[in-house]
Amino acid sequence: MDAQPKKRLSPLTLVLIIIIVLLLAVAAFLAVSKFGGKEPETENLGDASTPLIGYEEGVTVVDDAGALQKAVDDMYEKAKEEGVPIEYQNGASSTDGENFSCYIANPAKADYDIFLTIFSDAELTDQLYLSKLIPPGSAKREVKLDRPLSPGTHRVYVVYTQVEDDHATIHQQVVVTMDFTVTT
Amino acid sequence: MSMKKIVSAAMALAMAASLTVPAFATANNTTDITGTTQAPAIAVTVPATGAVTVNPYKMEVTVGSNQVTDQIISAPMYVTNTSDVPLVFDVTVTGKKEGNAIFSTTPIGTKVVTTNSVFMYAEFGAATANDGSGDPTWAAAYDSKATNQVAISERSTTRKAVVELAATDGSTANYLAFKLAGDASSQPTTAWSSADKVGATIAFTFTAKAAAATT
Repeated sequence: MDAQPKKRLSPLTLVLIIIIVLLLAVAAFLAVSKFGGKEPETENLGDASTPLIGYEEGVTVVDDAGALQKAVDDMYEKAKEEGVPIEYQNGASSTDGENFSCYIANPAKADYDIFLTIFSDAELTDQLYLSKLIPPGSAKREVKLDRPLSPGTHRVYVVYTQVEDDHATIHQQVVVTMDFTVTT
Repeated sequence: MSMKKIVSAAMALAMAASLTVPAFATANNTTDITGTTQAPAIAVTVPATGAVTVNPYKMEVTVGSNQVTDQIISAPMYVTNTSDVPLVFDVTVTGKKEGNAIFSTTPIGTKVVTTNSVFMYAEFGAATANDGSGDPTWAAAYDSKATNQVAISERSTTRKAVVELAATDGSTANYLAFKLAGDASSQPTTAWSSADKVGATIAFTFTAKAAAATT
């Protein structure tokens, strides 16, 4: 009996097999290179002294030490600037709750005109009084509030605002407290 | 005119005169005293603005001759006192915030906080100079029992008598020094940005105090 001839692969089939083998080889290569044969690295979540930085798309984490140093240097330079000289008596009195005798001065040594704003609250939202400009060496000895205060002693917040020579630009501001007392 | 009549007239005149004497005496012996109270004038120079830098990632920065990694960096500021009476200083501190920043009520320390939290406090002390050479010894950390520290929040907080300064002669000065300190979250879910800011407004109350009697 004659042996049956061996079945031969067609060229197309052979090419397909080669392609499949190559693809499998590439996939295997990639898998090996990713893990390198080692275990995946673990994140250290417990060490608070090493900050974890959350990256957001399109935003670079602030890592500009130069900008930080400049901000700190500028801050220390600004701290050397002359403050606002003020002179006043921290009590004012009234018998009608509206007109108060006081002494609030812009000292002669000051370099700027000031105006005064008086508020009833530390958040500076409830205004009681707004003055006109007071030049250096002058003082207010009477203020008339926008609305009367009730009998008793009221802690008020007085804002000294220095203005530049154009009388439109604020130079500096500080806040001090005074006690306004109404006796009837 | 008889002697009796003359004497009677004289006595009458004397009596009349004596009755007027008290009236003259009353007018001449009354002294009106008008009282005035001389309230002392407070003379100080108050810094208008300061700045505070938040360094949440603890980057190293040079301050003077030191390298620091503080998360809250603030230059000391000074109230200059030239009043001729001793002064007691009260302060009212109100925090301000912008962006994602929020105030923490307690130090953050090593806690893992995922919000953009800042714990900030103001500290006050007497200084002999306003150039850093006479600063008080600043505390290493916040102490809720300290009488010269104020934790900062958006709600106004008042601390009385943080410092007392002696009277000056007007030509010399003494100083109230103050600065801000604290810490911040370094692991927020939303990364810190330049839009996240904190600050504070400090209102000062200066009260004259009677000088101690000298013996």
